[in-house]
Amino acid sequence: MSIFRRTFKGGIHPPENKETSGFKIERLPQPQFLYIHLLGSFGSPSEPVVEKGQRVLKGEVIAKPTSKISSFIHSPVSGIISDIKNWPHYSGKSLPAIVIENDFKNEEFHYPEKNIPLMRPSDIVSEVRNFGIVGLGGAVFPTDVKLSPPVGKKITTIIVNGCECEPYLTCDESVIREEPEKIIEGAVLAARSTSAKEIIIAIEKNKTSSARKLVEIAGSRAKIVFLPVKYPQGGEKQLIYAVLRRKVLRGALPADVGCVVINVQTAKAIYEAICKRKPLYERVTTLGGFFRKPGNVIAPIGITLKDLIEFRGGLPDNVDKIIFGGPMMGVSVDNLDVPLTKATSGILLFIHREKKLYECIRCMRCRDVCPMNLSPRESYALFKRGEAYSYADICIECGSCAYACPAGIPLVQYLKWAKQKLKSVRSAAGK
Amino acid sequence: MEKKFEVTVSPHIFSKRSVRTVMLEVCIALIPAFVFSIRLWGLSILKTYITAIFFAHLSEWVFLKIRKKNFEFDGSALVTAVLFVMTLPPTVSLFAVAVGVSFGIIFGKQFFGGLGHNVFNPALLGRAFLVASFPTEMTTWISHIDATTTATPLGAWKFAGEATWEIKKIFLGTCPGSIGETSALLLIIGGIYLIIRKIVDWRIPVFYILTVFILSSVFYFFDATKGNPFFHLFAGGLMLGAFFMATDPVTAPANLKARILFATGCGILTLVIRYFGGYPEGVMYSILIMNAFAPLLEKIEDFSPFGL
Repeated sequence: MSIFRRTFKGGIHPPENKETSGFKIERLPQPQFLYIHLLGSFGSPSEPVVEKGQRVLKGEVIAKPTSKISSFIHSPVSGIISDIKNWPHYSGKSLPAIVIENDFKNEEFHYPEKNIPLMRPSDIVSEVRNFGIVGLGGAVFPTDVKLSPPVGKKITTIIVNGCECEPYLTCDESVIREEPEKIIEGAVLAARSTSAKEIIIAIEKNKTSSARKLVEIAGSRAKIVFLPVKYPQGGEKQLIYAVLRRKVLRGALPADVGCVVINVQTAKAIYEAICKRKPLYERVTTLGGFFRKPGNVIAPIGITLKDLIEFRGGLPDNVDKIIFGGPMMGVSVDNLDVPLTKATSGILLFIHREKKLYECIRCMRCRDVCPMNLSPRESYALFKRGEAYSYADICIECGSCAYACPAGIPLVQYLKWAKQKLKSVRSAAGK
Repeated sequence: MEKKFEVTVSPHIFSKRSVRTVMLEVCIALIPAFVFSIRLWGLSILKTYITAIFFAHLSEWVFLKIRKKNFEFDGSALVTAVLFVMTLPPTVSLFAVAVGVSFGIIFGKQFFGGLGHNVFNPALLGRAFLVASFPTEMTTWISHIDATTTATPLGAWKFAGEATWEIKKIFLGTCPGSIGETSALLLIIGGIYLIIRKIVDWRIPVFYILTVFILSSVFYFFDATKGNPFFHLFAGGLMLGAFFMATDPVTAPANLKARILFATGCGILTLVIRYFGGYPEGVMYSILIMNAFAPLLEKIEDFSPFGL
C-alpha cells in the first residue's frame, strides 16, 4: 500500500446521482435507419468505401481512415446504404453521415480467425485499427495511435480507466461488473502490443462492490487500485498522477511518462476485436436522468435519439434538455435526429436549470477546485480585456470551476476561449 | 410541434453554493457573537442592528435606483451591516449608525461598482468615517455591568498603562468593548466554522493572529509594559477583524501567497498602531491600509499550473 493518498489536487464532489448503478446491461432493439457520421474519431473524418444502394453486412467496413488520426467505421446492422448526406451531429454541426436502412436479417460479415498467441505486437495494433477501435471514454482518440508510441518512448504501464467520475454515468461500471474477464483480456492484449510490463485497473471507490469479480479473477495479470471518489478522477493526467505519481508535463503525452491510458470499454473492445473478431459498431451507454426506462444499454452506433427514446418509453413532457455524455462535460443537443456515436457514454434527459449570475467576489473557489492548478478567475478577468490567459492551453475543460463558482460564472467557457485564441496566435506565429 | 430543447454549454449541473448562500453562512457564523452581544448590552442593542440593516439596504436600493439598476438581495449588505454594528461602541446613536452604514455601502461599495469591485471593506470604511465624524461618540465606552463610562481593556492599557484585565474575561468577552467584538471565543468558533466550510481562507486569520502573537511576544520579552501576547490576541477587535473582516474575499488579494503577506501586514500594522499610534486599537486601520495594497500584492506569481 502506498503511503500517499491516491488522488490529485483540486477537484469537486458533485452529487453522484448514479441511479442506474446495478442495472443489468440490456440490448436495445434495432432501429430501421442508422446514421453513422464519417467523423468517427478524434482527428480527421473517414472516407466512405460504400456507395448508395449497396448492401452491407453487419460488421462490414463502410468507411476507411484518411490519415493516421482517423478510424475505420463498420456497419452495426446488415442492410442497404440508402444515402450519404449531411446529418445533425451532437456537436451542433451538420456533418456527412452514411445512412443505412436495416433489413433486420443480421447477416454478419466474417473476419478470419487469428492465431492469437502468434500475433506480434504490430499485428495487434493493426487489428485494433482495422476494427475501428477508438477511446470509448468520450474523447474517441484512435486507440492504435496510443498503442504505437513514437520511437524511443518505452511504455511500462497500461492504465485501464474505470473511474467513471462523471455523475449519472454507470455504463463503465456495468461493464466492470458484468464483463470483467473481457476487460482484463483486452488490457493484456494492449500490454502485449506495447510490451508494457504492468497493468493497473483504476476504479473509484464507489464501484468497489461492482468490481468484486474483477478483483477475484485478476490474479497476477492486473493490479486493481481503488481511488477516492472525486471529479475529474478519470482525467488522463489526474489519473496517471493519482496512480503512479508521475506528472504529464505541459504539451507532453502519457507516453512520455511510460503510460497508456485506455477506458474499460476500450479494453473490452480490443478483446472482442481480436478474440471474437467483432468490430466496434456498438457500445454500452447509460440512459439516465428522466428516461421513463433508464438503464445501461448496448446501443448500435448511429441510432437516433428519437428511436432510442421511443424504445425506452418515450419522451417525458417535462424534459427540455438532452445531454450527450455526462453532466459535467457533456454536450446538449437541440433535436432528436442526432445519432449516438462512439463517444456517447451516456444520454441524459434533463430539466434545464440555470444558476443565478452574480459579480465575481474573488473567492478563489475556482482556483481551489481546478485540477490543473489554473486560475479560472484570472482567465475571466483577462477575457474582459480581450486577452487570452497564457496557461489556458493546459485546461482539460473539466468544468469544475464553473460547477463550483458561487457567482454562477461559466468560467470554463472563458478558458476554452483563451485556449482557442492561444492556438490561433501560435499557429499564426508558427507559419 | 417540434419540441424545443435548451442548448447550453457544459457543465449542466452546479454546486448549491451561491454568493447569497456564502453571505448567509457568514451571518450564521456570526450568530454566537450576535447572541452574546444581546446578552451583554441588552435587548435594546437590537435597535442598533435593525437600524444598520435597514439603512444598509435602503442606501443600496436608492443608489441602484438612481443608476437605473435592479436591487437584488445578495446578502452582502446584510453582512456589512451586522459586521459594522459589531465594531461600534454600544452607546452609539442610531443617527450615527444610519450615517455610517450608508457611507460604507455607497462610498465603500457602490461607488466602485458594487459587490466584487470594492477596494475597501465597506463595514470598516463606514466605521472609519464615524471615527472621523463622531469622535467622542466613537471613543466612549461603557461597562457591561453597570453601564457607567469606563475604558476598554486596550484603552486602559494604552492610556493608563494598566493591562489589568484577566485574560480569561477578555477571552470569554465579559469586558467593555465594541458591541460584537468582545468575545474572542465565540468569534473563533464562528471563524472555524467558516474555515471548515471553506468560505474563508484559513491563511488570513492564521497568519494575522500568528503575526500579532509572535511580534507581541517579542516586544513583551523586552518590555513588559507592552502587554502580554495573549492580551493582544483577545483584547479589542483582533478576532473579529482576522476572521470576518480581513477575510472578505473581495478586498483581500485573490492570490494565495499575497494573502499570507496581506495577513502578516495586517498583524504588523495592528501592533504598530497599538504600540506607537494615537489609538488603542489598530485592527480597523491595519485592514483598511492592507486593503489598499491588495491589488499590488496580487502581482506576485503565486502558483504553478500542473505539469509546468
